[in-house]
Amino acid sequence: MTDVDIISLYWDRNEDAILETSRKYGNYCYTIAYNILYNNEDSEECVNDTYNKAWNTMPPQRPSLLSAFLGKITRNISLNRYKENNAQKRSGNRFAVVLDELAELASQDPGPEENVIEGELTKAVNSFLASLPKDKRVMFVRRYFYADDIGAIAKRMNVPENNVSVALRRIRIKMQEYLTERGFEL
Amino acid sequence: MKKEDLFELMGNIDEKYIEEAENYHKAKIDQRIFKYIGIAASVILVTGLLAVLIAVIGKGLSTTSPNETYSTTMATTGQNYEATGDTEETTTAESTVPTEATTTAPTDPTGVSSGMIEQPMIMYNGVLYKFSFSPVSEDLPEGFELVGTIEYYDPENIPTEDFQATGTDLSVGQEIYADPERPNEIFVRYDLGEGWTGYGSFYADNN
Repeated sequence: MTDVDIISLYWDRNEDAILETSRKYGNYCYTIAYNILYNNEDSEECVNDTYNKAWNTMPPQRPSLLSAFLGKITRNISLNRYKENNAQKRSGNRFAVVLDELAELASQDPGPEENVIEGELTKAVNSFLASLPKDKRVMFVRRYFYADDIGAIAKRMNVPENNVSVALRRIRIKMQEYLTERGFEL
Repeated sequence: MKKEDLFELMGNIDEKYIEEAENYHKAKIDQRIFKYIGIAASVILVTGLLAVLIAVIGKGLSTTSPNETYSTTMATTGQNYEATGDTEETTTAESTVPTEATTTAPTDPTGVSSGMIEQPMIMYNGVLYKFSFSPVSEDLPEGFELVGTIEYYDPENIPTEDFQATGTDLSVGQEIYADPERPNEIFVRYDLGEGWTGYGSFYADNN
């Protein structure tokens, strides 16, 4: 079934929409959740929450890319679950590594958070991603959107794991420089 | 900014990059397929070239080692093979004329059509010379000089006039060398390919 057909089911308030979404994007959403939570039960719950969220947002939304739309929902729900677990000291360590890497982007002397306008920052990040070669951009998105581990990225990119680690480190440095030059202090 | 906030920020990136990263693996596989197609095409090309090379070399070897081609079945005279309809060959020991059966011209295991004379023969100076089965030599023995070339070739009939020839691996234009002091033998020059030449020995048929 095409994405357009699935979205139409949501708009028709047909409950098959959930079934078809599960068939086509169940594994995709589960992987995103598991990369963050590293726990089967929590991941399955987040995927089910994703379906509910999709049901409640379509309509009025009609996403142009259903996979990215669902991925973002799963990611947000999973991140919230991660924060809850982290507060309860029962989070996994693997995703913590991803967050620690991102923490390198933060300035040593951060300005007031109010000064960071999220919309403009997002534009700057997208602009930076556009400046990257495709393979480097894919590595970055796989790591910091999908929270893939280094081994999975290396396998997908058909390169040694060390290459991925080195490339990601360089991209992070370039990104920090890029954002700093444009006045963003993270 | 907290690191969780940074991760959350990454969730706002353009959806086209999210999709690109999701589908990149598939694109990679497609590229591999093209790579393998290229390798397969190269293998086919190299195999083809090798086949041609082997064919050329094989042709040269068959010229230099006629003994293998004209084995025991061609022991004495320039006889013909009769068509028997199967792969087993029978010989008409003293016949010098193609039989009627040869008109069907099936191909025998050597690749030569039945009815065609296999043993190379040349008529020179009123004498019929037959291939000696000796390996083709790179050097022409001293005393032998060019006396002419094959002027007529008939694959199915024994030569009856000077400079006529029959049998495999002979053709019009091949040079004939003779020594008046050794009338029992002549030599024919063969082009073995790639600049190689050789001289095949023919002996006079006194029968």
